[in-house]
Amino acid sequence: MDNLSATRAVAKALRRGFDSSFVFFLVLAVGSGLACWLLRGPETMWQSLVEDADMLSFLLPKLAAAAAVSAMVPILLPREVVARWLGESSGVRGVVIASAAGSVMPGGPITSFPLVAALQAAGTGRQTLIAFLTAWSVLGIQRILVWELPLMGSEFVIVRVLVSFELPLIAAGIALLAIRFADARKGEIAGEDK
Amino acid sequence: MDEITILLWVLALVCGIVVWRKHGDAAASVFPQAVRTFVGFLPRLVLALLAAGFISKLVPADAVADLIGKDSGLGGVLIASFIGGFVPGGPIISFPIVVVLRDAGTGPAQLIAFLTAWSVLAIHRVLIYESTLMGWRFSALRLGSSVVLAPLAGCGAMLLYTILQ
Repeated sequence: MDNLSATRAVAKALRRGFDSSFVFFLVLAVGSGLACWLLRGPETMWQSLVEDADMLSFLLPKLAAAAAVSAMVPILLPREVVARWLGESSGVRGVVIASAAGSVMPGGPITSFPLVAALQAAGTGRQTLIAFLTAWSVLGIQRILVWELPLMGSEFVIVRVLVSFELPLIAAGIALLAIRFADARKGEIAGEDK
Repeated sequence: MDEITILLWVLALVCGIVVWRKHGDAAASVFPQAVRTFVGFLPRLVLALLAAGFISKLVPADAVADLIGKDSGLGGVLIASFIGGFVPGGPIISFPIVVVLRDAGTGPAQLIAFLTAWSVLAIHRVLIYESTLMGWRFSALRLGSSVVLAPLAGCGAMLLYTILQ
């Protein structure tokens, strides 16, 4: 990529960064800042700004590394590979594999949902997809490393992971019961029609 | 520099070496993509931090501690689960909120319920991605199967913290 197109790409990303949610947060930040100034005094407001600067300088080096890793993951772990893991196994084994795959799958919803949608179209069980999505959102290793561990400390992370690692299985189990129940009722109604 | 930063950069370096050695042709796209991601979320992160910082000075800590503090028990876990389910946006937004809640006196088990509800229910994700790509029936099934997860995690955490003490 030459310099000009690289500059353009960065400019485009900057524009994306300043979208409608940016305006929302701008209003929120300015509004709460004003309220802070008026209700708690200017010193408190400046104090808050200093704390924010500390937090930002603490987070930025981590987020830069995370951005680099996220850029490489699609190359190292192509969507097709994860799809193969999930598509080939079913039953309890499938749910367990889906949970494990979900927690190592990095990236935001833009990466994960097309994969899950493709698997749904290919006929993967809904309980398997629910286990994957639950593990991806609750146990995602990337989010734990970048956000939770630095901000909340290791004890919090350990307790949360300990009480959460069975959640994908519980969600999948409830989903499976609901699917069975719905199928059984459909069967009954079809039976009455005959 | 703290250990986690070093760990993350070592991870990035290892990934970089593997990409370089095994997928040389794709390596050129990594840097611009990483810069795009980084620059893309920076403005919102700065504002979310500013807003969270100001709001933490405005929120009366006593009220938070009463509602979802360490001693708020199951009621606090349920309230935290409910609030967490309605927080829109990714970690850029939710983690500044979590830090504010913690500093205002929210109990750790209640924070775990909040985080679990936010990550599992994720209203914004359902509206933008899930319902459009997977259909509402799938979203309804997943949400229905996930409603109990946050209170469950919160209760589990309460139990664990009691044992640990």
